[in-house]
Amino acid sequence: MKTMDKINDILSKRILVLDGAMGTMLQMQGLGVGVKPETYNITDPKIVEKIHFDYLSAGADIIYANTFGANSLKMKGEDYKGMILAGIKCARDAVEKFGSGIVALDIGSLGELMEPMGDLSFDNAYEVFKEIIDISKDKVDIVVLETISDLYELKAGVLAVKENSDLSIIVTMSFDEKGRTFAGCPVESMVAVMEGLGVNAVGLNCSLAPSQLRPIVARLASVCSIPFVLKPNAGLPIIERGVTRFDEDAESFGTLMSEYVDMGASIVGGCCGTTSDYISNLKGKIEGKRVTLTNKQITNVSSGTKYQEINKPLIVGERINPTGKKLMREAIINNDFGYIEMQAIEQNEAGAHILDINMGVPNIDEPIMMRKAVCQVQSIVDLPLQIDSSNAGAIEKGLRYAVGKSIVNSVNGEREVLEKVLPLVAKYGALVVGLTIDNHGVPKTLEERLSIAKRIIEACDEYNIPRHNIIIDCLTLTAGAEQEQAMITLDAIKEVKSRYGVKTTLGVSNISFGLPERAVVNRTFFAMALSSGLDLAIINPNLAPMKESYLAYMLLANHDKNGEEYIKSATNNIIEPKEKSDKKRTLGECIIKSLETEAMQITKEYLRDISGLVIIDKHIIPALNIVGEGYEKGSIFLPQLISSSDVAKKVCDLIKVNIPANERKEKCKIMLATVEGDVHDIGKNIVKTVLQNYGYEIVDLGRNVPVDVVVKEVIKHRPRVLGLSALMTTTVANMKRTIEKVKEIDNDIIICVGGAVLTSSVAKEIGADHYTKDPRELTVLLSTLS
Amino acid sequence: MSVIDYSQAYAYMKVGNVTPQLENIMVEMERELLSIATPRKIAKLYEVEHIDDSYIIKGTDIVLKSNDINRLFNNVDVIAMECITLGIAVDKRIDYYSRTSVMRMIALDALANVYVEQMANELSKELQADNTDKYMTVRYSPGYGDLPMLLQPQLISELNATKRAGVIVNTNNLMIPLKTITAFQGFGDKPQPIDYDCNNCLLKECGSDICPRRKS
Repeated sequence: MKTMDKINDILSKRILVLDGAMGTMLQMQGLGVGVKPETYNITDPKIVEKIHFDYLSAGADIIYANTFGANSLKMKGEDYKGMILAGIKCARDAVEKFGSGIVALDIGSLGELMEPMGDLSFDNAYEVFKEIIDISKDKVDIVVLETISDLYELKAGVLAVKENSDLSIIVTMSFDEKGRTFAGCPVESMVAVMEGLGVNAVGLNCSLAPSQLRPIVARLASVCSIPFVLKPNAGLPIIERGVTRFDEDAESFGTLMSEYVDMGASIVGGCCGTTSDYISNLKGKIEGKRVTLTNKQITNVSSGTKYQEINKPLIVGERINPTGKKLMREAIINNDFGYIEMQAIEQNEAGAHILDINMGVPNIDEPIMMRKAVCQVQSIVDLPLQIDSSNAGAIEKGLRYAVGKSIVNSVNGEREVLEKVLPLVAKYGALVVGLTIDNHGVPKTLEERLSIAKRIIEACDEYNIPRHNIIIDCLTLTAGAEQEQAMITLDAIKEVKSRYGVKTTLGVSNISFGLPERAVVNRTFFAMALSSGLDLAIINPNLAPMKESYLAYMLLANHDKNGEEYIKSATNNIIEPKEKSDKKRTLGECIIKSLETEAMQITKEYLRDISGLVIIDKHIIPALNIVGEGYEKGSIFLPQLISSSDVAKKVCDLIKVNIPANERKEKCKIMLATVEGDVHDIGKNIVKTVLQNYGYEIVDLGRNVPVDVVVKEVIKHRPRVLGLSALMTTTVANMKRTIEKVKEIDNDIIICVGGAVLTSSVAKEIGADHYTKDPRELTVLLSTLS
Repeated sequence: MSVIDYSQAYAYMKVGNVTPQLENIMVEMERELLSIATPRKIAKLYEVEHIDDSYIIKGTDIVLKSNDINRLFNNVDVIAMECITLGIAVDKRIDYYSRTSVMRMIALDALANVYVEQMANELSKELQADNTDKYMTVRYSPGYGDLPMLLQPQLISELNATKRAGVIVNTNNLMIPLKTITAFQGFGDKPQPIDYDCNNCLLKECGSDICPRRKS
C-alpha cells in the first residue's frame, strides 16, 4: 500500500498521530551545548533510534527523521548529507524493530531570509531543497516541511519535492498568537496556497502552546478542505538560569489537543518540550475519535501576507498593462521597473484588491519580463496578483515566482489554448479566467456565450480545477459599435453564475470606446454590471468616478457595513486641508512650505500654458535651492528638506507624464547603491529623492548590492557618478572592494560615498573621490562637476 | 497620548522646530507602527566566570573579551543575553515609504528606533525587578565600542532567536529585522558604572550627534 493510501486509510478510521520533539529527548540523553542534534545520527545512532522507537511505542504513526537542520546553508562545510542519510537509517531501523511506522524526511527552515528582505533567492532555496530530496527520496515514505515562516520559502520547498519525487507532503508553519508567521503569512494564506499546490496535509508546529491555539484552530477548521495538522510546543517556555522548560504537563497537553481534534484537527503530535509521555497521553485522549473532511469550496486569492476571499465584488487594477498605455509600454521596453512599481503602489493606495500584470509587448522576452515584474511588484505591495498573458511561458513564470495564489488571465474556448494553459493552472493551484470567445470569434448571442463558458468549465473539470477556482469573462464589447451587446453581456453574467456556480469578471472600460464622455458610460455600465453580479471588475482604480461608483454600490448592496468605507472616502474628499491665504501662492512657495495638494493643483494650471521643462527649471529647482541653502545655514531642518523634496517629487512625477520621452532633458546619470552586506538604506533613499528632483537620471541598485553586480551595472549603464553608502563599520571593507573593482573597469567614473561610518579621511583611504555628509552637499558638489 | 517618545524620535530626525504638518505625520506613523509591529522580547540569564579580563558565559561557547565590558561590568556573576525585535513588517513598511514618501520613511524609521529602544528598556526593568538583590549594569550590544559584531550570530543562536522571534543574522553579522536590538547586561553584588566613553568606541570619528552612547 502506498504511503498516502496508508495515511488515508488511518484517517478514515481514526486520528493520525505524529511524534514529539527530538531535541528535547536528545537533551535528556545529554546533548551538549552548541552540539547540533543531527550530528547524533552519526556519533550516537543508537540513541536516536531508541527515541524513535519510544515514540512508535507511545503510539506515533509517523516519526520524523532527525534531519531538521541538515542542509547546505545551515551546515556549510559539514557532512550534512551524511547526517541526513544516517538520520533516515535511524528512523528506518526503529520502524523495523517496532514492526510498523511511517518514516518522514524532516526539513526545517533553511535559516536564511528570502529576498527581497534577505539574500536567499527563490531559485537558490529551491536548489537547496532539491538537493535534500535527491539524496533521500528513495529512502523515506513522506516529506515534512516544518517550522517555516516565509510562504515563498515553503512554496520553493513544496515545488522541489513535487518536481523531483512522487512523495506525499505535510507542511506546517509556525504562527504567533495573531495567527501570522514572523514573515507575516496568515493561516488562511498558507492553506490557500498549499492546498492549491497539492500538499496532503497542512497546519502548524512549534512557537505556540496548546492553550493559545483555540482561535487559530477555528480559523484552520473554517478554511481547510484537506487534513490539518497541530504539532505545538509543550506549553509556554519558562527560562530559569539559562535552562528552558515548558509549562504544560503531558496530561493537560493531551486534554487540550483532544479538544482541538473535536474542532477538526485530524493529525496531531508535539513539538519543543514534548516527549514520548506526551504522545502516549495524547494517544489515549483521542482514542475512538475521527474527523470527517468537508470541501469548503472557497474562492480565494492570496499574496504572501494578504488573504482575500472573493465573496463580494472586488477591484482588479488594470494599469500594469501596455495595451493603449504608452508610458507603460516604454517602461517595459526599457526595463524600467521603477515605473511599474509606482503603478503598483498607486493602484494599491487607490484601493485595488488584486493587481493585473501584463508584459505583452512584441519582441521582448515576455516570460523573463513577467518573472521580473511579478518579483518587483510583490516586493513592494502585498496584493494578490493576476497573471495576464496569452504566452504559456510567461504564465508559467508568473505563477511560479508569485508568492501566493494568483489568477491566470486568461484561457478561451479554443482547445489548443485550454490544453496549453490549464495544466499550469492545475499545477500551481491558481484561479483561471475563461473568456467567452473561441476560434469562431466573439459570440453574438447569450446562448453562444454560455456554450463557450460551459466548454471551458468542462475542460477545467478534466484537469481537476475546482469550480470555485473558475472565473468567466462574459466580454465587454464596445457599445458604440454593438449597442445591443451591452445587455447581453450583463445577462450572461447572471446566467453563468446561476447555471454553473462560477465567478465572473469584466474589463469594464471597453464599453465606451469611441464614445464621447467615456467616464459617464463607464461608470454607468460598471454599476449595472455590479448589480448583475459581477465579482471581479478590471478597472483603473485611480479614476475617481469608477471608485465612487464602486463604493456607492458596496454601500447600497450592504457589503460595506455601516457604510464605513464609503463615508471614509467621501470625508477624505471633502476635508482636504488648505492653508488660508489671501494671496495665491506660487509653485515655488508651495514646495518650500510642503503644501502638496496646492502644489499639484498649481502645477496642473501651469501645465496649460508652460512646458514641463520650464516648470522644473524656473520653479522647482530654485525652490529646492532655497530650501537647501536654508538647511545649510541651519534655518531649515532635515524633515523640512525632506518634506519639500517629497512635494517636489510628486510634482515632477506629474510633469514627467506630460513630457514625451524624446523631449525629456535629464542631467547626468548617477548610479546609487548601498554596498554588499549593508541593509540600511534610509540615507541612500533620501539622496535619491533629492537628486531626482534636481533632474538627475538615477539608477538605483538598491541595498546589499554585491560587488560584481555593481561592476556589471556600471558597464551596462555607464553612469557619470557612482554614489555608495554604508552604515556599518563592517561593510566599509566591501565599499573599498567595490571602489577598487569599479575603478578597474572605469577610471573616469566619479565615486562619491556617504553614510554614518564615513568621514573624509576614511573616504580617501578607501579610494573614493568625494565624501559628502548630506544630500545638499552632494547636490552642490554635482553642480560643480563638468 | 503617544506610546512612543516623540522627542527622542525628533532628535534622531534632527528636527529643530516641529511644524503641525510634521506632528500630523508623526501621529499617523506612530499609529501605523503600533498596528504593524510585532514586538518580541527574549532574555536568558547565565552564570559567568571572570577569568583574565574575560567573562566566560557558562553553558555556552561565548566569551566576552572586551575592555568596555570590563569597565562597565563590575565583577558581575550573572549576565543576561537579550534580543528585542519589532518584526519584519516594520522594515517592509519603511521600504514602502522610501518609494512613496521619504518624509514618512524617516519618521517611521525614527519612531521604530525609539520604540525598539523603549522595548529594550522595558525588558531591562523586568529583569531588574526579577533580580532586586543585584545591581544591574548598562545594556551593551555587539558592535558598541570594542565588543565585536562577531558575537551576534552566537547570541542569536544561543537565544534560539531565529525560531522564537524571527531574527536572522546575515553574512556581515547584521540582523534582520533591522529594528532589532541584541545586548548583554550584567548583574552583580556591587554598584555598577553607568557611563559610556566615546574615546574607546570604534565609531569615535562618526561625528554623530544622535548616538545614545554619546550622552556622556
